Amino acid sequence: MATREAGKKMIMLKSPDGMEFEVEEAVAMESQTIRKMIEDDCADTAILIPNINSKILSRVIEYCNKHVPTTGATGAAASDTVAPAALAEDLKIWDAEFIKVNRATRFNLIQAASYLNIKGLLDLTSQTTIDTISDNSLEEIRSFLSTKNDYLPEEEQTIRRENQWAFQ
Amino acid sequence: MEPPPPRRRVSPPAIPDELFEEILLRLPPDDPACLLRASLVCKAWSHTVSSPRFRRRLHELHRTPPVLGVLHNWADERIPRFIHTTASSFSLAAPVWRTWRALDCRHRRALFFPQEFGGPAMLLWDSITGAQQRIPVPAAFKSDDFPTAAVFCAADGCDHGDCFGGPFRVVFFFTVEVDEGTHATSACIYLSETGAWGELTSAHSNREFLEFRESYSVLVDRSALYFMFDGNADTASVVQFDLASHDLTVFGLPDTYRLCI
Repeated sequence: MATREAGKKMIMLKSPDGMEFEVEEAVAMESQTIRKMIEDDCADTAILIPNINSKILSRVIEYCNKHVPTTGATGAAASDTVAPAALAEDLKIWDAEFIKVNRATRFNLIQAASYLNIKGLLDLTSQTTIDTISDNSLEEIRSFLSTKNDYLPEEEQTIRRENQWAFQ
Repeated sequence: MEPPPPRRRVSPPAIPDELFEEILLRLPPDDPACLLRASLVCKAWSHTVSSPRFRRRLHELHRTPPVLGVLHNWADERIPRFIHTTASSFSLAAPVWRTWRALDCRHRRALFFPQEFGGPAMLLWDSITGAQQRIPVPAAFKSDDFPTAAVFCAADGCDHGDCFGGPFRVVFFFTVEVDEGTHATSACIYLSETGAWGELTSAHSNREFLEFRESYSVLVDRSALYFMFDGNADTASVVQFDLASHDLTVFGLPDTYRLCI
């Protein structure tokens, strides 16, 4: 199914809800999972991405499009014309905007980044989550992550007592 | 900013357990208190951050572990034995200065020598669990001089992310005055697997003053140990011990160093 468009090899990604996304092979290969499928010649037909709906998959592709090492129309690497530091700064600002999403979307993005093995996206989504909750109380963290406290009060007290330095 | 926890009962999506691990791996590595607090959120988190797999991945992600603090040998009990080097309130209940002189600390193990040389055994201390183990000094060591020693992990291919409980080596160094103006420097390797010291390797030196009072080891590429002898500009020197061949070499310092001290 790999097609060519303007000299670039294209790959078709398919979400479980039936949407198809045609993306450059280089963009798709930002995912180490997809890269392995392509390298192992398992990508003859459209690649079905299980468990990632079209809304999340389109965001993931958006991320990969931005982060793939680019070459301009002339073939010159973008880094030839723009200083690497400026590029990195631009990406950082772009990432900060990209991750302004609600909890459900962010958790879905973490899941997608983990399955597709996209290290940059996994770092971004996980780090943003930990930054969000790290200054919160335990109760707030549990509420934020829909996690139930399954410690008995005496168990919790024992841990606090034995590790007082960590709870000052 | 994320909205505060909602009062209305809107159920946020549940995160699969394996993704908690991804999130928790990004806790700041220079503050161990974060991991302890995370472990109190729920038992699943406690299980996650306590697992060997998590420790291994934490090490892979952050590579160079942060230095959380140092142990000192100053004769001042007002200074805590463990001195913080980060803002974390993390501390270690290290063996007290009054009894134990710190000799070395590497791959999570710290090695101490008794301040008053009476019971001839060193103390190996696991800085994480606090577990202690006595290691006898080599039988050949009968001197009152200050010896020194190094400890390091001996597991093949180990990246030291979680190597406690594995094999380790202690290399013990001491000097004996043979004649006036001549010293013999000796080294001996302890194998944790056998609990015994190997053969003694010695080198003679005609330097007048050789003592390891303030001497700490440098391990280079798992193949050689270096110590500096105490001394003034004329007597300070370096001892090199090859861990494969057991060759022991004592050599002086470059003249440029002599001009600096």
